[in-house]
Amino acid sequence: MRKEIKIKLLKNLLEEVTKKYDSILSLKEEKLKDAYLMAIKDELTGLYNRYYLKDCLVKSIERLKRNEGGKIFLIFIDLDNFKLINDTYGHNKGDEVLKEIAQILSINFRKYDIIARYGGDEFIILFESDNEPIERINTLRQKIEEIFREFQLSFSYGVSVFPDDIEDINMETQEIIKKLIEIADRRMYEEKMKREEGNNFRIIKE
Amino acid sequence: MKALVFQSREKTLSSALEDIKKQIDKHFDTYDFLIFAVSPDYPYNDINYYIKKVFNTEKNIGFHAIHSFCDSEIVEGISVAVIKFERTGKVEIFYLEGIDENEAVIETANYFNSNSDKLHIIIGGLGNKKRFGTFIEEVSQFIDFQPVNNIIGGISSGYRDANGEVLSYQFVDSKIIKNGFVIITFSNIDFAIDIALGFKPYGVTYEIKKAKDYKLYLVDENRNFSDITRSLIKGIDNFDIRYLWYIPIYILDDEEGYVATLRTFKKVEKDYVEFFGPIKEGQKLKLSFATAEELLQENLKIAKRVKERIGHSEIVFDFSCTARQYVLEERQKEEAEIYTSILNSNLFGFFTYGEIGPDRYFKKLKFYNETSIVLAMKER
Repeated sequence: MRKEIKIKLLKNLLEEVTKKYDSILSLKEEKLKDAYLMAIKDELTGLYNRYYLKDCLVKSIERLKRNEGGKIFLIFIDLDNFKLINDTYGHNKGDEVLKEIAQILSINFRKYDIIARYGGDEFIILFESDNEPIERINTLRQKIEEIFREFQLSFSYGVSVFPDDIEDINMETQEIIKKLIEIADRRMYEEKMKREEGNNFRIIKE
Repeated sequence: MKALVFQSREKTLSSALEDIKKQIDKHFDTYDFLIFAVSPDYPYNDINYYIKKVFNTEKNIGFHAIHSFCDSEIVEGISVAVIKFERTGKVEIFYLEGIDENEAVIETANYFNSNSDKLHIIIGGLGNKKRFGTFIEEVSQFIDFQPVNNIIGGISSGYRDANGEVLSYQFVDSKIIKNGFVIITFSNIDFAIDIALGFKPYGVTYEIKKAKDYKLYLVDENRNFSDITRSLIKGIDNFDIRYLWYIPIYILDDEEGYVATLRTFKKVEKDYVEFFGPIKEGQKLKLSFATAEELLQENLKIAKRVKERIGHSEIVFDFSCTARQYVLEERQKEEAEIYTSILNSNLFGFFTYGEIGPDRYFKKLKFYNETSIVLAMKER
């Protein structure tokens, strides 16, 4: 009795359930995506955060450990005279400048390079290539100095290289990362001192 | 207790009652109480008059029922349960004519509270301003004893007559109760009750975002439940609301449901869907479905449980939903057959417009749809 009606009702019920199920799944995917982006991105600049950078470093170093050839350049950038902007114009202006710097960095590196905000005004770029990125960095510095001339903003940088800077590439990957960051940070600092001494750029003491 | 059930399908009210009287007289010299289930096809204004005339007693109540039970038969006429106590059994009546009155809820709860050791069968109408399902759930909040396992019943079934009146009335004390209820209270009775469901929930869960009284407006993501319901009846020609009785909504109410609370579709409007029972915001629901076989299996299961609890019974009552009757289709008689055969007793009751029974933990009264509530009793 009323067999056709029951079949239609059940078919429609199945269709409704499928529709609702799909919508739940897509909502969940969206939420997961949002949560993932929140976990890997820096909220202010939209660049990657240090945790994601370290994840990428692990993957890149381990890939290079398996297959010989290729290099990883870890570029440590520290802004010069950024504190002055914060002190003079306030934190909102400082945040705006950081956002602009992030944009400039993104434009001047390749899409697949990992650009991360490492700390307040520190950035690290994971650059995989056979060629040194020095020229690219110097051009970038000139650009930033031009754009932010009124603030006398510039940056100092240091570069560490895997595997060149690591004596024993078989050591723990996390140890390698620690060392690469330390080396790049030290070289950045040395450059900052050298630039100050060479007086080719005036650094107002932070 | 001696309890038997009789029926008549005679065309006129007086001849049907006379027919029943003859049958009763063959089995009883005297009796203590009569419960009439009367088809709304009979002129309701004459019911009290003819009962009094034919049976010459005040010890009775009557109510509208489109289809009533006389043992394993479904009757479209009049069924009557005749009760004669043989030991200490006793029956009393309580009734209210208006459930919209302010004091009705408290008065009813007080009655239950002061008779907490007795068994109560409540039979109500659909309700006018306040629906009977809402009234029952309000009364429940003022019941101060536990366990609440002694109150069951159903809503009289009827239809709209030519004057627009929905004939789901009760008849007691020479009165026609149009917006109230009657309670039959038994003392010194042992009894067992159980509730049969059989429907299974399917698919995803919806959360009710907007609802009022018996109406459901929005579910999660602010989807109009009316749109969802319409999608369920897509492609069905000559749509009849009863088709949706195959797929009642299944309220996921583990805390309160003795069995899950089902709600039967009543009306699909543009902005809302109306059911035969209260819907509350925040409740979660699924859609459900059952075959006649699944419903009957559940009837069998609860009949066995009741039998285990009570052993021998002297009369059995069944308050089974009209929507359940519809889903059972040509097998609707089997429910009554299961109860009479397993419980080996006479059966009285009717297909209701809503059932009343306890919640899962016997803490509250609940209003159910699409269930069958069975009560087996014997005199102490």
